[in-house]
Amino acid sequence: MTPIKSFLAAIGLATLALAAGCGGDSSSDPGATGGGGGSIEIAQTSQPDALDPAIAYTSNSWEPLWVVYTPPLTYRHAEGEEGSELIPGVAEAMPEISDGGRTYRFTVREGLEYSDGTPVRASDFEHAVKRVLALESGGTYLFEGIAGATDYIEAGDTDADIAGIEADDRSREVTVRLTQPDGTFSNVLATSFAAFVPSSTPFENQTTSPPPGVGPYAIVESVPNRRFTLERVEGFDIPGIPTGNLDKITTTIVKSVSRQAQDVIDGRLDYMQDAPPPDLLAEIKEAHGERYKEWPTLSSYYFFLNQRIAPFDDERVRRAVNLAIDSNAIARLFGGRLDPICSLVPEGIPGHADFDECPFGDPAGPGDPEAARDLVDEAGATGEQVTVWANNDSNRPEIGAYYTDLLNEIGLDAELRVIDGANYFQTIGNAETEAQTGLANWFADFPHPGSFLQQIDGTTIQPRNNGNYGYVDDPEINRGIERLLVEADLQETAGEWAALDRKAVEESYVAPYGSETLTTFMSDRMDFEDCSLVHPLYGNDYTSFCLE
Amino acid sequence: MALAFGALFAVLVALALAAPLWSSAVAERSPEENNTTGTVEADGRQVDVVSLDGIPIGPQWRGEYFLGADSNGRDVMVRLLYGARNSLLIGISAALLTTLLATAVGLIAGWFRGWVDAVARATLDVIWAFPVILLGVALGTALALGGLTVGPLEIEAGSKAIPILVIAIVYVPYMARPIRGEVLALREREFVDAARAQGAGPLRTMATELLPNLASTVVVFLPLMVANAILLESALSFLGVGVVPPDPSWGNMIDAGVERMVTAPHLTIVPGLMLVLTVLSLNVFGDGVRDALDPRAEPATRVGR
Amino acid sequence: MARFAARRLAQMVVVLLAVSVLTFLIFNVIPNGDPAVRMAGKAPTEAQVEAIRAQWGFDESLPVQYVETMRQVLGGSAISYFTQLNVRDEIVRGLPRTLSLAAGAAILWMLAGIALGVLGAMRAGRTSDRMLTVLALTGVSLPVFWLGALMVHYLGFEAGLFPNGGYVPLTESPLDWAYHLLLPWTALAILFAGFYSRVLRSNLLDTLGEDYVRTARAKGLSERQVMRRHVLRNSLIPIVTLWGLDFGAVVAGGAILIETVFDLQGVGQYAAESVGQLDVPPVLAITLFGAFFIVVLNAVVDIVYAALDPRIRAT
Repeated sequence: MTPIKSFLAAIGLATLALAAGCGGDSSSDPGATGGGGGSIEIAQTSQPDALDPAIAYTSNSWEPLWVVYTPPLTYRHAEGEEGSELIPGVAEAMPEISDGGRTYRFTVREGLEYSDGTPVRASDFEHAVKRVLALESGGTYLFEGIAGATDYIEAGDTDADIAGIEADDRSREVTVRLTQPDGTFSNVLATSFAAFVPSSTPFENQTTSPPPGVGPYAIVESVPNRRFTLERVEGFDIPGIPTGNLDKITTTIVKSVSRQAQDVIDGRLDYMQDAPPPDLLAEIKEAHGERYKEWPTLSSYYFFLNQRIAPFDDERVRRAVNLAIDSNAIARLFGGRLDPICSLVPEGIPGHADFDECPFGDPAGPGDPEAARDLVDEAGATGEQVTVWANNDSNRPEIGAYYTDLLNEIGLDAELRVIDGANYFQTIGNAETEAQTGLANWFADFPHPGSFLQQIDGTTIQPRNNGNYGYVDDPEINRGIERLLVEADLQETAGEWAALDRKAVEESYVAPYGSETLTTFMSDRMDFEDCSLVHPLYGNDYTSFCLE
Repeated sequence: MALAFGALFAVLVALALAAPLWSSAVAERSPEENNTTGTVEADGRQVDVVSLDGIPIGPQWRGEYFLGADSNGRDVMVRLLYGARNSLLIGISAALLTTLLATAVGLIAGWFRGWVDAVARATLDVIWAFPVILLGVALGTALALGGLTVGPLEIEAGSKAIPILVIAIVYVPYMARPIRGEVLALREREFVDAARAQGAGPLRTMATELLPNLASTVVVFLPLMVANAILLESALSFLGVGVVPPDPSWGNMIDAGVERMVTAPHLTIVPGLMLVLTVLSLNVFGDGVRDALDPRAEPATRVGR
Repeated sequence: MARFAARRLAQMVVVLLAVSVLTFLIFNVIPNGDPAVRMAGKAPTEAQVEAIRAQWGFDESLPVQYVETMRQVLGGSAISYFTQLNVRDEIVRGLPRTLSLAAGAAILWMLAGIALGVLGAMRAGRTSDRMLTVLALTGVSLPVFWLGALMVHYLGFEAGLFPNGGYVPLTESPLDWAYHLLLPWTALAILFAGFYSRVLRSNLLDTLGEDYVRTARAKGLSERQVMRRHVLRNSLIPIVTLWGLDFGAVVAGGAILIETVFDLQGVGQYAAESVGQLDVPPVLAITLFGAFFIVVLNAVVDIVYAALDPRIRAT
């Protein structure tokens, strides 16, 4: 997921099955005490990037859109690893994969309708993909492997055909041909980008009037920067996808997180998407612990280290950074909502390298600035000037201040640069900026190690909008990623992914320090106990919500 | 009364100047030094400077952490004093620059009149037409990303010269207009004619005849200009486009503090009080100066618009 | 008179034009500001970036881009680079909030300013006057964002006497509307009231020294009657002018700080966000809108003055 605004990302994995309540598929079990019906008021901190499945690419939007737009495949509405399991969505069954992983074929369910009653047709899928490609969506790269996709983009004609997608409305069959095998393509078919929308949906951002979708809820009102409203769709029925309990969910945009937390405490709001600020966390945990929980996310936070320019072109200086970092110091800047890790792939994703083998000591232990200082000295880098980059979202400037001070402590001459979150990743991803080091983080697009390791894939380096901020270019890692991405069986290759991750950390190509934990905090009107399912990828599952 | 407040301002300046002394001798901590995981002795036992939940300790009322810590475990008292340096440096420099620019523009426009005056007035009108804070934020944001290069002069992004420049430019019309008006009146007076009759060029006349007569206006304006510049600096820093963290300024300390109002209200209250004291002392002092020198002069402007 | 007004209007248009050019330039000369790259999302090909450039006209020369952007801004069809939402709709959505804030605060600060100013003038020289002076100057010296933050927290959240921010439309509930705006109005009014009372006080003192006031006193009118019938009326004119200008300035972006602190989501807050995102169309639109307010109110004041006093037309 493009970390446009890091706090937007509320994608998490509850591997530990945190709540005992709605552990399973809630379509069959909407909660013991929670009944159906009712309406709630909830809040988000900023307007979602888009309320249009072709464009939406932050968890701000993914959390609500997941229950409105169903792709061919989707994830089971369940917590923990069970939630990472792909199930058929609009497709009748899982796709048939043939031609050595190059062809995907699925059939659309019979008699399916959009929320406005329009029948769902197989050709709508091609239209949905065209919209992603034509609207400069951040998800474009996911579909570029489809034969003819790049031709479609270059032709610049929205009505042109995508050669690799064939859809037959009568047999309801869709065939997708890829130019080369892609082990992650089933996951791509489960992203909201691939979600079905009617073929009449215009080639424009539809945030102000979101198109109908197939799902338990429909967006009935959307006033940008103010609010949007979901209403339950009568008659929605896809096995495996719950129908939802509440009749109406109104999301208001409240820019102040403190105000949101205060309002949830006092019952003026029923739920907040973002985590309550550290300032109120202690009070919430103490006085309202029965309606608050924290859960780990599929995320990793790290400092990128630019291998191309001094001083981080020297492995010893990079190692010094890894040695000196104290994840516990940063955890406090998150109000405690950070699990220390020393790998890029977080826990909960196959291919996560195990904790207690960290090359630089226990990630939860203190750093060793003394040793780091010696290393910097040994590398002759003492006094080298370093600019540390950070964005201005919630606690980021404080993390930047911590990191800057740390670099100074180990002998470098560091200075912090804080810029607006809206431009941050484009700025550090621009080769001309020559960003030496700074803050970066990543939330999974889907539960796959490739989603994380592409950030150190040397073949993805490009002069602009580069996502490999440290310009990591290790032939062994590049080859490894290329080879493993083709494989469809993740369980089998998990060990090899972990080895790549480990190599990256051992060479100190990056300096990872933690994985964020996010929260569920509800008003006392809500049935917290039984109706607060946390999905590993999409966060809080609105279909599970119900009133006391 | 004006004198008492003038003295208060002097004390504040002295405090700001003493910042390094407090930092090295009393608190033994530099303004940007983090101590997130450290402990400190309080009530006879070791306490986390920042708790596991991220809550910093409050005022200790002794050398170390006199006013408590912020979320990074930095010493608030030390940062407050260094923040004073930044606020005063930027406020005074910007006010001086405004005075310089405004006097130059006012003199030239008032003296030459005609098309020179027309161009100068139009320029002032354009700056005047911009909403002050909006212009400040826009300029600050733009310059914070790329810095500024004008000929040989290069200002790095993140430099304190940026807020100085932004604030100085924004306030020029407020001062240049009255000065121009005064020059227009002065140039009709006999002593100016006399100087010209003796063959003095325009530059010389301006320097020897006009400038001394403008002095009282400038002196009346200056403390008020400094007060306004400090307020605008704090507003810009509060919005994230003034002094760049981790360098402290009262504005960015308040910005970080408002997110900790429940658990650490001192982070917001203390820098705000310092700001009020400084600006108030300048305003009352300036008010007194005006009464003494030029009771009819209009007060300058205010940072609300 | 008509000629003066016409000239003043022409001046206005030129100033607004210059403001728009300047704003456009501020955001088009920064390195790293290539909006096409920012829009292109993850891993774009050069062809994609070029396509965006062509589609949005970023490949045109600056003057052409300026004219095109201005055409869209004035025509109401400008689209935000960042959110791809219509800029006019966003401003229209925020405007009632900003206007409500400015109007209520303006009334409040005018009333408070007059009361304090008259009181100060009548007690001129006494201790109470000096205390009023310090009080007024304290109001002027308060950083409005700090005052607002303290109000929201202590009066709103801790004491629960007021809402902790936010806005309720007037059409929805006039009572709630006022209740939500009371704190921001007060915060803004404190700032201006101090200033107004100072200006009014010195105007009053000037007028009190005039001959006709002395005559009125000699006629045996009470101090209160003199104040109300003769002095106040004349001294109020400059204040009213100032009032118009300040109201315009608050609507035109002065509310950025207050709106942010009280989370009112008006035009000011929209401006602050757009500037951070280097989003040229909304910034251009809001700056122009703000400058328009300021310039028009300035011109109106000038024209009214000229109508009252023919000498001004000459200069």
